[in-house]
Amino acid sequence: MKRASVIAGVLALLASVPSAAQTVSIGLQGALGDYREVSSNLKYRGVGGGATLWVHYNRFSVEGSASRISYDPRDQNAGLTSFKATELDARLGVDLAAGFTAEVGAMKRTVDPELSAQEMGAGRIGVRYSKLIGPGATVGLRGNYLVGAKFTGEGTAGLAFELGLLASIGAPNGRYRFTMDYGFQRVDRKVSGSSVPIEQSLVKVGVAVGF
Amino acid sequence: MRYAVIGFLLLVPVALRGQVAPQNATLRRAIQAYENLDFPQVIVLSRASLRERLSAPERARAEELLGFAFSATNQPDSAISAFKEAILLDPDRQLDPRRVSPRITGYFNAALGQVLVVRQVKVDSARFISGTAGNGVAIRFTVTTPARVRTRAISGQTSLLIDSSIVAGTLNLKWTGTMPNGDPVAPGRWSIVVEAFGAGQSSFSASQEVMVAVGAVDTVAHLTALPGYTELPETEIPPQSGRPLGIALLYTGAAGAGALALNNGDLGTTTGREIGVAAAAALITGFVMTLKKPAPRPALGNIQYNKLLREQLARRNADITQQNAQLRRQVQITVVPIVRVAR
Repeated sequence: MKRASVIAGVLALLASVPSAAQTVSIGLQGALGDYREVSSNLKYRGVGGGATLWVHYNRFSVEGSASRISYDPRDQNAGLTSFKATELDARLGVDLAAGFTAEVGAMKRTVDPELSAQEMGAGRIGVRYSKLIGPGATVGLRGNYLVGAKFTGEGTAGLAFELGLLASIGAPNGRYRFTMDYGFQRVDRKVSGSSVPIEQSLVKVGVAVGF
Repeated sequence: MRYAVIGFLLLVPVALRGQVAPQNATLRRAIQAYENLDFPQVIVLSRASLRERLSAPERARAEELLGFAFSATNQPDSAISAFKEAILLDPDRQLDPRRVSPRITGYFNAALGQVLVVRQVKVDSARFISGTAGNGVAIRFTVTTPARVRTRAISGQTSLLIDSSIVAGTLNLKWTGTMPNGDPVAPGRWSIVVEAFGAGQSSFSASQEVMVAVGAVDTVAHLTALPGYTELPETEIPPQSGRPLGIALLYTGAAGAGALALNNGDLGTTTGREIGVAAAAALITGFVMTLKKPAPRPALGNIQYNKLLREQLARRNADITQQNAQLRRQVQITVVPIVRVAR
């Protein structure tokens, strides 16, 4: 929670310094999620919402988003309990070439009630490629490697990454736009040599207003 | 010979028509006698009038009348002598060969060859830029006998030598309107004075007044566009195509295939709800963009053309600036001759 406050503070600070080369946009989304853990028996499906703050300053961009999904077990008879997952994402991007951006950042997912699913946090490093397909419309792909993943239970993740599909359409001046952000996350967690993987699909569809 | 005399008699009175009637009564009577072909009486009355108080034109008229009468009475020496006096009194005096008999014209020309006068000093009206080669105001005059002729422009204390040469006949000169140091002359009234110095002590001078005005030379306005050339639009709208939908399809396919390939089999098969929603959103985006008018894109050829056009325009304006700097240093001189009022 403390870390989330720090990220929000940094984002707010960036947003408060307007510049000719700076664009700030805030978005609200509805979210759909699919969460799996350990085996094919632990499957959850959820609905929720989220918010995103996006700041672009010259070649640099900062993106912070928060989402809260209420997950319910797919198999109601398996004795599993529903939980709420809160996920915070932060990304710092540097434009390397036209549409091609290198990203570093962090993510943290907490669950409520505790221990109903694995909480995790990780750093991320990767790339994003966005293609302008028309005035005010882009589609893009994202690939991030999740580094140093930590879990509430023990364990390590040798292979942890996320794949994303992005799309947005709106006014050419960026004043408003409809956004879609899809992320597929696979974490091959191992505890004492045993495989306890985690997988999440999360799609957020919403609107954003630019300043 | 008889026909010649008749012709002479017919022509001479006509020669006197059209001239202003003199104020002197004796001279008027002499003219009347001439019209009546009473030549002895003309000689008597003309000589009598010359003894009276006459203006210079009247005096020249009386001498001319004497010349005509002596010619008619076959006294060439006296005729030439009378014409010489008339020419000295009025150097610009001319006989109209259509109205005056060839014999009288011959005596008059003989008289012209025996006196030194500067005749018909003419200065043209002109407007020119001072100090540029070939520019100036034309001056023309006739010297009746060979003489050293000095032509000057005089205004107040300033005297500028225009030309000095030995001349017989008509001379054409050009005055550049500049001081010896190259500066333009001061505006105002100037006299073009022609002095002729003949053999012995004979000399003659004639002049023509001119008004000189000095003004700035017009400069050339800078160009805002090259005539006949217009800038082309630097962006162009490409034709509508299915490319946006194609790109969205490609990206959606890549994401879907990636998610499918990376799906962990131990966790079961993914439902596809989330990727389905994402794919639908991306494809709608591509579809909408396919229907929408494409964004303008830079027209590189036109940009290059406009750049060359602007460079050319800048070069032309730089030339104009240079030309104007030169023009601002120049002075336009206007010379207008002042018409002499007959007294």
